[in-house]
Amino acid sequence: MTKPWETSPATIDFDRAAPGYTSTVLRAPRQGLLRAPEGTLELAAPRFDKSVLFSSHDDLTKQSAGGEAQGERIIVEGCLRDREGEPIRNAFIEIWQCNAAGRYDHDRDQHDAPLDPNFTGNGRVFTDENGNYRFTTIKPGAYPWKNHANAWRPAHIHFSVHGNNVLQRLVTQMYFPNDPLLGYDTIFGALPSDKVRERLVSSFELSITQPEWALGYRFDITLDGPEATPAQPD
Amino acid sequence: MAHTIPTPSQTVGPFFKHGLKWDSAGTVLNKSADGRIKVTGIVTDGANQPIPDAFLEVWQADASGKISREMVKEDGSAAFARASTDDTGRFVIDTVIPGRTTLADGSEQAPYLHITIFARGLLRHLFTRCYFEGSDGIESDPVLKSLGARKNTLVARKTGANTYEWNVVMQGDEKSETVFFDI
Repeated sequence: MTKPWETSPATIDFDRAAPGYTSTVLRAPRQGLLRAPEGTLELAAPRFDKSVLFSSHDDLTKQSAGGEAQGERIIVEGCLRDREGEPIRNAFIEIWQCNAAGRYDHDRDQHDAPLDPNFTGNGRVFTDENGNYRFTTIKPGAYPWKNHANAWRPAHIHFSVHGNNVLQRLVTQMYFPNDPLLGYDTIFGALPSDKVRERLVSSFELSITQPEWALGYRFDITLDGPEATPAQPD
Repeated sequence: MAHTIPTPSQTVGPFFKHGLKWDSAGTVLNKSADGRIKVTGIVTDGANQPIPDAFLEVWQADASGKISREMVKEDGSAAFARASTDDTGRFVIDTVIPGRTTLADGSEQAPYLHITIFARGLLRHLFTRCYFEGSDGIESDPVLKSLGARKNTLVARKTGANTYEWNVVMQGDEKSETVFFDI
C-alpha cells in the first residue's frame, strides 16, 4: 500500500542556502528535503532535569565572584507557545551572547575588543507554568565578521529551545528594535520576508524595565512543528 | 494571542559551544546499559571538506524500543545527547542499538537514531536518521523503502563487533548527499 507521504514531492529547499551568507553556500543541502512521516519517537522529546543539573542561570550579570558584568543591564522576557497558541510549560531554553563590547568568551573569536572577566555570556532558563521565561543580562554589542568587506552583526542573543517533541526544536537569534545594522545583515536578511524577520526583533517594553536598574525587552517565541504531545507509555 | 508565523530559525553560528555548554560527548543512554556500540563519522560539506563546527543531537528509543521518560542529566545518562564534531569533522556517538518503534499509523520500523544537525552556515537545523546495517527489519522499513537508492546514505556500516561508521554529507549529488527530512 502506498502511504500518502511516499507520493509527496520533495520540498524545495528555499530557506537553507543564502548566497549573501557565504558559509551557507557549501553547507546547504542541494537535493531538497524528503517528506517523512512522524513516528512515536519524533512525537516525544527529552525532558531536562531542572532540579538537579540543569540549574537556572537566569542572571548573566552576576555569574562571577569577581564582580558584575560591564554594560547596559537589560531584562528579556517572553512567552513560549506552539503554533496553536498554547503555552509550552517547563521548556528548556539555553542562551548565549557576546559581551557589551561585541566579544564572545570563545577561543575562536578573534575580534579585537576587550573580554569582560565577569561575563561568560551563557545562561539557562525554563519556562514556567504559563510558558513564560525571563532573564537578566547586558545588552550585547555589535561586532565585525568576515563574511564580506566591512560586515557587522547587529546586536543579538542566541536562543536554543526544546519544545514538547523533537520536531519543535528551535535555534534562533533575538535582535533589538531600530538597530541600523539589521538592514545590512546577511543572516537576518536570509529570512524570506519582512513579516518573518519581524518575528526575531524584540520590542522595548516599559513594563518590563526595572526603575533605576534595567531596561526591558519582550521576545515571544512560537515553535513550529506538531502541537500535540501524545501520551507516552511509562 | 497566537502568532500566525512561527519564530524562524537562525544559524547556531560559530560560538555555540559557549552557550550550549552541556555536551554529553555523544554518550547516549546510561553507561550501564549492556550492548554498547560506537557510531563514528565525519560531517563534510559540498567541497568534501570536514565541518569542524557542527554538532548532532541524538534522540532514540532504548534497547527494548521504549521511549525513555528518564530526565536528561548533564552526564549523558538519558536517551538524548549532543555530539560535536572535532577539528577533523569527526563525531562519536556512544550508545546502544535502539529497539523498534512504530510510525503514527502503527507500522513497525527498523531501529534508528533520530538526528538533528546544527552548524555554522546552516540557517535551519536538519533532521535525518541513522539506521544500522544488518539490524532487525531493515529490509522492510517503510521509510527506508520509500527512499530508493538514497536510503544507503542513512545506513551506518558495521565496521567491527561493536562499531559502526556513518558519514554525513551536507551537500552533494543525488548519490552522496545524506537524506534530510521535512517533518
